[in-house]
Amino acid sequence: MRDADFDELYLQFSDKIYKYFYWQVKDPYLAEDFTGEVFVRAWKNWRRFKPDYSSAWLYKIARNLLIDYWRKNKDRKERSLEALVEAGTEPSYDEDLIGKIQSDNEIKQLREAISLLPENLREIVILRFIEELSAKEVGEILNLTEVNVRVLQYRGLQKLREIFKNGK
Amino acid sequence: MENDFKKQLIKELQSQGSLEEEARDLAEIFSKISKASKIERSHIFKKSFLDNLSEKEKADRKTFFFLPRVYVPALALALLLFILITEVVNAQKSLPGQPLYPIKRLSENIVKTINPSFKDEILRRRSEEIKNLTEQKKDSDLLKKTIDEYKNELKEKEDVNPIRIEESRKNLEEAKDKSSEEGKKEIEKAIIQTEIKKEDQEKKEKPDNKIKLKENKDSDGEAGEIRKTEHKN
Repeated sequence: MRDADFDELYLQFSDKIYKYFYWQVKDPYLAEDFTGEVFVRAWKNWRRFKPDYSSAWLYKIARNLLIDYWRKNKDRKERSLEALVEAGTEPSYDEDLIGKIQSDNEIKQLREAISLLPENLREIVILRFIEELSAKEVGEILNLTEVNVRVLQYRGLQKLREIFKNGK
Repeated sequence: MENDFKKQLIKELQSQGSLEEEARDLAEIFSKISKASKIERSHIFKKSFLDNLSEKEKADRKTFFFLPRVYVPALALALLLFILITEVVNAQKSLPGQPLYPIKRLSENIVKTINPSFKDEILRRRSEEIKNLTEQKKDSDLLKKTIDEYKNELKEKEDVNPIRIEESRKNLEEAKDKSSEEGKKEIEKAIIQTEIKKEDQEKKEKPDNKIKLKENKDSDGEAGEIRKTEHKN
């Protein structure tokens, strides 16, 4: 039987992973597909799981998945769906939430502002201020020093302030 | 929680060289992001994902238990076959009296049934065994028995391969040089029988050659007559 700790991990982190994907790909359906895939991968590698490292472990899986996605961007959504079906999990979506995401003005504004950030600052802003991870955790995920993360988060916030001031 | 995060952020921004006012201003941007980015999927939805994963796990377990039923016997059979082949191959180098020798004889009998020309090779093998037994100064009874088997093989064969029989004769000659007095006599007898067989074979082949030559001459004669008649015409 599957470890009960896995269920707990999913309940605790799946929203965070979903958000991470959503703010990167700006597609709630694709974000859900990716989130499912992250946890299928995590479940398959459950024996190697280290509880103290759970957050960084999941974000690293997510990030690798995203890098892979950007690289093979041509196939887009279909690829992720295929991977999920292949893994044996039928994709399903929280339509209420997706409806809310698509109609919420604040979310729309923020989505547009984030999409205007340069790529290196975008990931820092998402991990640091949306996921609310510490600078140390972000550094571990992105293979950066804590100081680097702080420098980049400062630039990211400055850039966002500028975007908001310009009325975007 | 958000306030703690915000306070910590202000500190970090100040340590990066920001003035307090700017740090607070930037921290407000964080508050705005944080507020707008609150997204939570429903508990029912998350539960359905976990249930889906459980179903997949059950299906995988079924596959896992099914696989050994197919692969284990196949692997066992392949392993058995591998051991058997290795034993048969190793047995080919064995000598009379050794544990693998019966396997060598059995495999020879099987091949002989399928391919009768293998009898020449068996003859050569017996002669080689005689040579090796004399080299190793093995039990004289074993040597005598092997010589007898060689003779039997020789008797059984009507036509012999000239190359194989010559090899056999050479092996026996070498064996004779290294053998004891008692063994020498037996080997000598085997050599004589080998030479007789060889001569018989040569005789068998010679009349054939003569007939062939005669046939060639005859056909040439007829052809010559035809050629002459055509020329006259």
